[in-house]
Amino acid sequence: MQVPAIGHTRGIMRAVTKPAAGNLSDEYAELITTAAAGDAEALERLLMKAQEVAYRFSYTVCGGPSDAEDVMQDALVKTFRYVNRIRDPHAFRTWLYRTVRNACLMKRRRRSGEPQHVLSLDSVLPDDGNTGALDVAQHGHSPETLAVNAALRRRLGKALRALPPSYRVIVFLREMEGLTTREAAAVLKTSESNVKMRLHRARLFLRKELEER
Amino acid sequence: MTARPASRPPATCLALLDQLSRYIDHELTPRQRRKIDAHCRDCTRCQRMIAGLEHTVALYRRAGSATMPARVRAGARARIAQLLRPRQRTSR
Repeated sequence: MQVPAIGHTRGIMRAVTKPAAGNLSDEYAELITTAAAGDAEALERLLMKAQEVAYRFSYTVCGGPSDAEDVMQDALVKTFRYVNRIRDPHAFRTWLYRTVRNACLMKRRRRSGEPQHVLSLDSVLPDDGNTGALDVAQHGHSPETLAVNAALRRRLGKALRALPPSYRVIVFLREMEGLTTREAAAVLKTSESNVKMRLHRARLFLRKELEER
Repeated sequence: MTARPASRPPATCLALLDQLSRYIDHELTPRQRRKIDAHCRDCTRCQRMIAGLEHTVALYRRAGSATMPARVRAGARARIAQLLRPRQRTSR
C-alpha cells in the first residue's frame, strides 16, 4: 500500500473544506430579524429552514425519517413563536438545533441494536498493518475530484449509524452542518472540551469503519 | 517504530493520537505542531492516521446532510401555508 508522504498530508489538509459556520449563523440572524420586522417572505424562508434542519437532524441523528414529520411540525411551530419574542438573533441558530434535538429525543424510543454509548480508545484504534477494502488515505490523493456518489454516500451513512448517538450528533453538527465547537457545545449543553473529545473519537471510529468496509 | 508487530500502536504514537484532531483543525500551538511533524517524519503509521482522518473529515463535509425529498418539501410548504393563513387574515 502506498503511504502518503508527510508533505502530501499537508496538501490534503489544505483541501479539507471548512464549513462557513460564521456566515451561516449571520444568515440565520439576518433572516430572523427581517421576519420579526414583518417580512412575510423572510418568515416563510425561515420556517422552511427550520423544517429542513429538523428533517436533516431526524434523518441523520435519530436513525431515519420515520419521526421527521412530527419533529418538523414541532420546529415549525416553535420557530414561529420564537420570531415573536426574539431577543438575540445570533442565538437563533443554536436555539433551533437545541429545539430540534429535544424534539428528536422526545420522539426517539430506545431502539434495539443501538450502538454502545461510549467509544473506548481501543475500539477506535487502527489495526496494525490493516489494508482494508477502502483505504481512506489513498482516496485522499485527489479529494478535489472525488465525487460523493450514491454508493459512497451509503457507506458514509452506514459508518455514521454505527456510531453511538452521542457521537453521531457531534459529527452531524460539526462536520455536516458546520456549527462551531462553541455552538455545538451550546446545543448539547456540554463543554467545548467534551465536544472536541467526542468529535476526535468519532473521527477515529469513522476512519476505521470506512477502512474496514 | 512501525516495525513492531503488536496491534496496539507504540506509546509515542498513542501519546500523540489525542492531539491529531486538533492538529488537522489547526488548534495546536506551533510547538505542539512541530513535535507532531517531527514524529511523523519517521512514523508512517501516524502519517497514514493523519491522512486518513483528514480525508474522513473531508468526505463528511463534502457529503453534507440529507436533502429533503420533494414529497417532504411539499408537506413542509403546506404546513407553513396552514400556519400563516389565520395570521394573514387577521392582519388585513
